[in-house]
Amino acid sequence: MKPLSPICSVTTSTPVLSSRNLTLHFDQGRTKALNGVDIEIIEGEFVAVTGPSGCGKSSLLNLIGTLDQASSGELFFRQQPYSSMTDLSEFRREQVGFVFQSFHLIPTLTTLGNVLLPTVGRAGDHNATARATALLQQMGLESRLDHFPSQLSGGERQRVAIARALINDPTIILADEPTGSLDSENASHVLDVIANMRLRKSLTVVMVTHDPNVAARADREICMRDGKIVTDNGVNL
Amino acid sequence: MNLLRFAFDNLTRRPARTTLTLSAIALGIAAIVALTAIAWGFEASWQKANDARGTDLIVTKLASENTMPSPFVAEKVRPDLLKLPHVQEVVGLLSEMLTVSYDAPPMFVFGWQFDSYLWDHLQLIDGRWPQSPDDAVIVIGTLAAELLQKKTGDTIEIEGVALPVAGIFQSSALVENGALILPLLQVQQLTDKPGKVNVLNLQLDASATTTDVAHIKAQVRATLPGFVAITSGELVSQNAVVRISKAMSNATILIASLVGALVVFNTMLMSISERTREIGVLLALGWHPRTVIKLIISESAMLTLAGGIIGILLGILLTIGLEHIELMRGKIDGLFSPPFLLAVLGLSIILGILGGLYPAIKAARTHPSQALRQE
Ligand SMILES: Nc1ncnc2c1ncn2[C@@H]1O[C@H](COP(=O)(O)OP(=O)(O)OP(=O)(O)O)[C@@H](O)[C@H]1O
Ligand SMILES: [Mg+2]
Repeated sequence: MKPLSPICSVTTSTPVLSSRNLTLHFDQGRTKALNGVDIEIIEGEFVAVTGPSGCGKSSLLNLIGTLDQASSGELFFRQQPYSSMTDLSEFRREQVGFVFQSFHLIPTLTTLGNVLLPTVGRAGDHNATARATALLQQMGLESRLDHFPSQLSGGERQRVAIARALINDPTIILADEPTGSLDSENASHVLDVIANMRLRKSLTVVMVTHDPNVAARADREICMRDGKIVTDNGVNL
Repeated sequence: MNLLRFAFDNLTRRPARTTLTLSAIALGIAAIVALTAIAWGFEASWQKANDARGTDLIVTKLASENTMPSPFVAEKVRPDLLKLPHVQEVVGLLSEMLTVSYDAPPMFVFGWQFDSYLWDHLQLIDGRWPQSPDDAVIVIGTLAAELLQKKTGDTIEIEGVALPVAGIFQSSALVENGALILPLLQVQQLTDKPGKVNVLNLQLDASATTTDVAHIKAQVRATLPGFVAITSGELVSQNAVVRISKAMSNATILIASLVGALVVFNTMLMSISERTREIGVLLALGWHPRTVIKLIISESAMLTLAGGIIGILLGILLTIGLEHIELMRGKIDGLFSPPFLLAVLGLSIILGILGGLYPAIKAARTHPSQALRQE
């Protein structure tokens, strides 16, 4: 798979995600995982989030994906405040796809079963299996449909996880160190898949990474420190 | 993607734990099935005996708290009963539970009024019936013959007196098949209860309605202090043994259900705490908390339903086994009605839902980001 140029994909300038003075505190405020984050992400952007360990990268992703609730401040999805959402699980199911460093596949389910997980309880979804099979085919996993996670390589597992994130055609992909558990060859393959899918489906991708080479694949790099954004695409804030 | 299939796979990934829980549920259900079938079967078998005899009403002492109603002198009440409207026959009966052989369990010995309708429903297989009230012979049921290994012409010792077996009969009621029957007079003499019976059986004429039956009951209560007239069903359900066995079966249902629900509760709690991270993943993928509840409840209900099915089979085997051990033969006749077995299956599912409810709610409340941080 040949990596495609990322720049040309930004077609619109409406922010799909934005935040205002976002904070996330733990231990009654003693730990400030996020300490006033303002961010605006345009539809179709591929954003890399970097920064030292503990600076709040995963925390930011969790807030965007509604896995955690902000201590203060507000997040917006297409101008709609998160606080007005009534069904967070529906938002996660329909708009967000998660990819994790440690894959988080369910060991008792096959490749196909894992990819179909986000379609459980989705009313009127009749062609889920066809979609899953097509996605897995695009990722070169057509011969692995009935394999269990333990029978797959790291790179294959992460591609299954990406297919799972894409099954419901989300708006945003949130990837937390998606290449963190992979060797450089598999890492680059997985990144190719993300870049390729992103263009095909005009996805917004927010990806946390330690690796400058990985970050370089994105359109934009946000660097965080101590719960704050310090540089945005090389520009000091 | 099938939720039930997923639930099933989650159960099979811990085969040892699932098998243990399943066994506990199955044993509890088996105990419920066996004890209830025996208690109800016991009642039904006596009921059947009374129905087969053609008895409409039974007159007995009011306070019959023993396994057998207390004996009383028949002639004190018999003439009064015969004067009641619609009463055609009043027949005395004396029942005892006696040891008649050292290598057989205690057996029912019935003294039946000679020349009464009581004998009519029995079918003689071999030998002859007693010829008069003074005929000191025994007829025995087919099961009693087998248990005692006696045939026509042999003798059986009752209360120290050796009596000849005149014949062998067959009855539609198990209790009678396992019993020894003599003319009433003979049992009264053998047990030293001259003139006494423990029940009087009333046969009414065909024109008697339920209102007439109620009227007779009221008359007996009013004119014969200390006595009651009841239907055979009432007599059986008031019998101390029937009441005790029913109480035991109810207690077993309660205890086994409680233990079953607790076992499932514990298993499911263990299972979800092991899978916290996985449940976090499901929630992150957009599963509604309701779907998580459905998954966990499906798992626990599947577990108890399987336990219930195995338990029912085990319970039936257990009852059949008990029916065949020497001590119990002829005394229990397990009753497995389809509605009862369906109710037990329903109970198993309810146990799964109850036991799985809290773990399911707990799982649905999993905090996704914290669950995902877990190693
Ligand atoms: N549930 C929690 N309870 C307490 N502290 C937490 C919790 N989650 C995160 N933190 C703290 O918040 C800070 C930010 O954590 P976060 O996971 O966002 O960092 P990160 O940038 O993703 O780090 P890494 O690169 O190591 O993954 C850290 O100091 C972390 O210890
Ligand atoms: Mg992190």
